[in-house]
Amino acid sequence: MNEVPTFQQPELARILFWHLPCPIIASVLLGLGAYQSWLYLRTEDLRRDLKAIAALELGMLFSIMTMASGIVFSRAQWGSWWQNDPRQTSFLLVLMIYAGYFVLRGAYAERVRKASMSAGYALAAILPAMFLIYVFPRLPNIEGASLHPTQSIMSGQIRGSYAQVLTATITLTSILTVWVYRIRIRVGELELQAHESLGLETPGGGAAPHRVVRPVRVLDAGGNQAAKGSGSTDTAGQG
Amino acid sequence: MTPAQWRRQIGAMLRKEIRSEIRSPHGLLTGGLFGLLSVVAIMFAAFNMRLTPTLAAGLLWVIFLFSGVAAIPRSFIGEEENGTADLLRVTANPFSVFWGKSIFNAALTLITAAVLTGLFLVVMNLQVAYPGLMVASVLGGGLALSGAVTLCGALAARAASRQALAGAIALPLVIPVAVWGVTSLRVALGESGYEVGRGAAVGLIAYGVASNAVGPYIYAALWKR
Repeated sequence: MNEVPTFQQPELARILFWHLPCPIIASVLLGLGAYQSWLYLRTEDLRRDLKAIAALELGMLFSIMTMASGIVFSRAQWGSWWQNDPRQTSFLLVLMIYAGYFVLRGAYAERVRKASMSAGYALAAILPAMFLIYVFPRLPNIEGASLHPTQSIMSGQIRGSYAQVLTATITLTSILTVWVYRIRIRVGELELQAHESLGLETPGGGAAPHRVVRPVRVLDAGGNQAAKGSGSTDTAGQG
Repeated sequence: MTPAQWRRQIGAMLRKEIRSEIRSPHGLLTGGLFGLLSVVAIMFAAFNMRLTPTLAAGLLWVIFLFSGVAAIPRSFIGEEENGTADLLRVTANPFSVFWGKSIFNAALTLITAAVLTGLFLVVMNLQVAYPGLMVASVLGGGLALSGAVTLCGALAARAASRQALAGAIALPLVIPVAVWGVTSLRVALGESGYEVGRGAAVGLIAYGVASNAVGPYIYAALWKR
């Protein structure tokens, strides 16, 4: 019995094991990012902003993987890399929305303003993103025109061993995501700690304004601080 | 605040925007010129073609999107560039500021859209099958564009390269609106499926109302940061 009747070649359905968990996890992470952004705007706690970035970075990564696996499947099933399918285009737009989030974030150097403005954008973006992921593909004129199935799982078209493996991959990918999410938050917390207590530049801390001199700790070969509390400064960039 | 105080504050903000625009019609000129150039570019590209309703609706929405994104963010960016934003933060209520600017931007977008639509229909020799649907579509589009792009203007106002940034972050938020806009406009221009077109116009208006309702809350949460 064919366990995946909607597929012309059942062996190609194996891409589902990777392609399906990605958008599910991506949309959960995008929702989580918006929720953490809302909490940040309420509490002004920068740790909430860290959780929002972690969720949105991972969400963006899973969105890219959704696109990539969809493109590979499109080539194998329909013979071209890009079908101009409304579902493909709408997901590309979701990616553009979250690219906008990171572009806005990169445009501010000051940490609190960066966090506030990007939190506002994450909240404003959630409505169009959810529309593009959940509503748009089910509009009557779109559903009829798209090659992409929308009801394969709900209508029980994935059965037997395919359904079992799919459930397992969704579960495992979710566990992996939680693990990576926690690591990303920990890295962010360490960056924040370094920024707050040591005053050091960190990748997440944004660039220092032009011609601003920041103190730098210089350690000798034994790991001792060579110039304690002195005027040891990084003067690079002074014109 | 009482309803009368709300009206007074929003009205004051709206009058301020209108006076600024009369003194220096930057928004109208930028949006109008951008849209006009888009129409001329389409005339060049399609000089010997008869546009189908779907193609015409898509092109008209591209014109709306780009002229709106060029003009609308000015309202907040101008305050920062002129140094008047801090004065507003001290004296006004964020909701009144947002709604005053958003109503002004909606009016600006509607004026620009009405002129550009008329011009586009004449030069492309297109017939309107359902004028009411076309008005609803343009009205909903103006409302949706003003809410979302005004907010993006506020978010980008204090960044470097603010005008370009506002456009870049606003477009992905308003392109989904274009789906409804194109659907309703193509029916208005003669394609079949009146019920679908009417539903799309209602969706457009609903998005406009939602973005104007949610926008001030987001703006109020970050306007003093």
